[in-house]
Amino acid sequence: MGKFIVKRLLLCVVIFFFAMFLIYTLIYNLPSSYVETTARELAAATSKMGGKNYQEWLAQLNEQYGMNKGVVAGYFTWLGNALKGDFGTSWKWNMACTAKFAGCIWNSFTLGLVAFVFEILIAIPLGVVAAKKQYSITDYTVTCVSLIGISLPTFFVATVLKLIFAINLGWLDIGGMHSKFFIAANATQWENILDLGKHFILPAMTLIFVSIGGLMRYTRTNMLEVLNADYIRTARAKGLSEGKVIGYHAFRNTLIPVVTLLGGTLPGLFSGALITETLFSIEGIGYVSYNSMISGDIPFTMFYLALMSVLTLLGNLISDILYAVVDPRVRVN
Amino acid sequence: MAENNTTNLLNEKLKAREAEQAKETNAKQADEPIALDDASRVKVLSPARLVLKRFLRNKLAIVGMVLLIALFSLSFLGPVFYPYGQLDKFTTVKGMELDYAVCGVPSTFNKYMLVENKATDEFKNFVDSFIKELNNDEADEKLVERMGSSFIVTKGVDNVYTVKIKSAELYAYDNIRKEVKVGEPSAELDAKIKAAIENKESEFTFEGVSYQLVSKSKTETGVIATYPDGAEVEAILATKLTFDPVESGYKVEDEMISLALLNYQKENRFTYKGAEYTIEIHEGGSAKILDSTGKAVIDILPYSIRDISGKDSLGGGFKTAFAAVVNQMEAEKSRTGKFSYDVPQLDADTAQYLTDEDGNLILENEELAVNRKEISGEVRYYANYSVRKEVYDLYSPPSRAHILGTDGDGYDVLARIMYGGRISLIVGFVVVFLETILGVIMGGIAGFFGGWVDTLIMRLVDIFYCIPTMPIMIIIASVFDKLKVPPYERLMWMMVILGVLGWSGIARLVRGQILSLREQEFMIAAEATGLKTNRRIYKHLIPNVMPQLIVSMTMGLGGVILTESTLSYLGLGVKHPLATWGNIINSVSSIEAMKSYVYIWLPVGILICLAVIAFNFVGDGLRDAFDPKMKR
Repeated sequence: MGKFIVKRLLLCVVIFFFAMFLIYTLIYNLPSSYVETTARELAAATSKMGGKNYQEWLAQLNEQYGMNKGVVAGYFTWLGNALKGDFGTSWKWNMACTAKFAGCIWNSFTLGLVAFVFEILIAIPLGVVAAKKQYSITDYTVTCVSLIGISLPTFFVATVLKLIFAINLGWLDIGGMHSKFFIAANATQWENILDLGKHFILPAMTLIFVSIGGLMRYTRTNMLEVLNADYIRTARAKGLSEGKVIGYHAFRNTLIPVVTLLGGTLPGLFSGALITETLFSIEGIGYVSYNSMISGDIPFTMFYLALMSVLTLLGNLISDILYAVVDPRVRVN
Repeated sequence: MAENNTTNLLNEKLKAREAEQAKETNAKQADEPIALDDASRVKVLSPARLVLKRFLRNKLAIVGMVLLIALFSLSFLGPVFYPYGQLDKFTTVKGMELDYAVCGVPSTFNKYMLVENKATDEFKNFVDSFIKELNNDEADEKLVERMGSSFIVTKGVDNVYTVKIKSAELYAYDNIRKEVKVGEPSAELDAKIKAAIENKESEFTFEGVSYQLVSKSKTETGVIATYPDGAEVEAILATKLTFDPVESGYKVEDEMISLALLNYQKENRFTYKGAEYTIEIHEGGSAKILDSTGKAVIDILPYSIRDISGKDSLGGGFKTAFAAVVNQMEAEKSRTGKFSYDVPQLDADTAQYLTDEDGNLILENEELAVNRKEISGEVRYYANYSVRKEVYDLYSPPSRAHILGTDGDGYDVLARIMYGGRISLIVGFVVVFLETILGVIMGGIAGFFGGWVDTLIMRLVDIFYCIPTMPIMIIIASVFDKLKVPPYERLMWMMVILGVLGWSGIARLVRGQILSLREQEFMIAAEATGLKTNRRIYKHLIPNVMPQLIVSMTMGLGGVILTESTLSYLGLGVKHPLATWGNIINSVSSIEAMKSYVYIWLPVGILICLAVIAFNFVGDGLRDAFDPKMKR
């Protein structure tokens, strides 16, 4: 097991190295006018306050990212700094990338965790019920709802939710982190949390709605597979009650792939929800990165892409390891 | 016995029938080749038909298929029959209230000086306050004093006020040069004054007027004239009446106005530059000055009336009519009024007045509405009439002409949806085909050759799997924005990039399938027959991967449509003027638009969902049909 994990980890490092190299090459090779325009814009934006001028920005950019060294050497410069935890200073936010990340990640994490918990609580029971009564109305409803959930574009769900809850009913705000007249300094900690929570309702609902379908389908498919297995027939032949068959024998076996899948999505809680956060102006990592990418903030963009790559790899790794942990048969093989 | 007999009889009959049947069948078989008869033949369906049969049994898959057919006909056949294109801008004729003329009620008096001298010049600015004092006392005549001078202010008819000099410093003399400095005294008076200065007299009387000499400085002496009662000199005329020439180009001299005002409502006739003029008084405070031939040369109006641009280009007739209405409104204290008059017609497109061949304005009788407005204390009356003007038909609600209304550019929403559907679906197909081609080639090579080739390609797959699509697309799109890439080129690039980023999944799937198929007997047979590697992969292996491929392609189509519409919604995908489902919704993404134009974004959003749902239903149905182990 240990050997397996070490092998996988090493593989992940290699993949990360090359994936980031590819991304770095892409950013490096973006038409030079992009970099120049950005430098010009930055210079124009900061010159009034006595900031750097265009040439200085360009020089800083080139030096910081080793743009003057060629792709390979530049990449190693970046990687060397990155491994030391130095991702440079974000242009857009005017602070260290890691500091900005630390400032916004908990918003993303909270939002993701809430959505994740609700997703599990709703999707798994419904998936099991649908499989238990295959071809019943319940099954068709669950299948339809899950397919609709998968098929709905995030922005459409967000728009409809905003229209219903923010515009027509007026219960919640249309976006942002705090109410219009909320002043953090005047509020107690509880009021602060309550106000924040109110603004997390719509984004969380959007996330749940969009992601619930996939898990529901996955649970149903796996449950069906398990229900067709010989050991379930055996359990029924033994005269076990249906509740025991489903709840104990079938469900525990269904959990194997489901837990593997969920374990794989755990690192994703740190990657934020790019689209949802942007649509609702929740200042999480997704929203911050979106604005960085739009405004050509190369340091933060590189940081975000590196983060995404690490999280994806970590997700795969966790799901591989969990698979071995949860299912003893894999370990034997 | 009887029973036996009957059975025998029956048996014989049956035998006879069987023999007959046998004969018939023999006769038939003589014509046809020997085959199993239909009843005993095992019904064998080809694999494809088997899949089709299973597919058709799935209700959800059928729903998906019907939806897809509907969406495809809407997007690809719809525009053929629909009369509007995606870039047809629609216009509508709207009645627009066009302000034509403005009438201002003067708040101050216009002053006309009869005697140009020191006193009138200095006291012109006091006239308004004189009149105010007079009106406060509700008197018709009042003696007012200012700075040692005194005047008699008289109220005339129609707000015409006369200021007469009772006593004022009219002249000033230079002591050293001994000549007049200010004022124009007559020669005799001049001599008298000079004599008085010489003799150091302080006052004298000349022609009934007493003069007083005042030493103003060492070098200057002022002469104050005091008129006896009834002999005061008219110096300033103040009025709110305006004098406008009937024909443009006619110069109205101040002197002529002064003369007219002096005689206004009195003798109503005056002589100016040797010509006789008469004043014709009309009702409502307006009047006309006629020349000796009886032709009207000047309109006298209680208000100043100009066209809306401020130019004095309106005819006298219009002014008189307008003034009459304003007069009535002033009297009734009403805020609106109306009258009709011949006014020039406006061109719908250029907002210019229409002219005929000779360059004359085309006039038509229109009903003009008059509205009273107060702008920073000044009262103004605006005369407007409604013009039919053609404007872009923006955000018009659903109607018979535009089933889903029009959008913010005046495009027909339904036409945009149809053409948008084309692009969205085409993007989906192109991207999925690109992904599949790349994936099949890479996966096929990896799976078939195994070894280091497999390891290399699979690591490449891992790398591509690890690169997040959405952020990369956003970065590239923002670069495109900065470089201002044209919409069509952008669309092409977007499809290529999505395809290149998306092949890893398909490659994994193909490799996995091929790894298991490679060991099967038919592949050994293919190798034994000495087929080339190429042929073995693409003729024997790939067709066996087709079922999984088709399923994953169908499901992938939905995913690509979602990605494209999300990008376009964020304004980073396909750009205006090209329509896609995403950017139609983007065009109404503001809160106000979201609320007011539900009829634009809701149908489009539903179409996106339907398209993705349909692809997922069909993909699901295909999977079940290809892999019956899971079902029933």
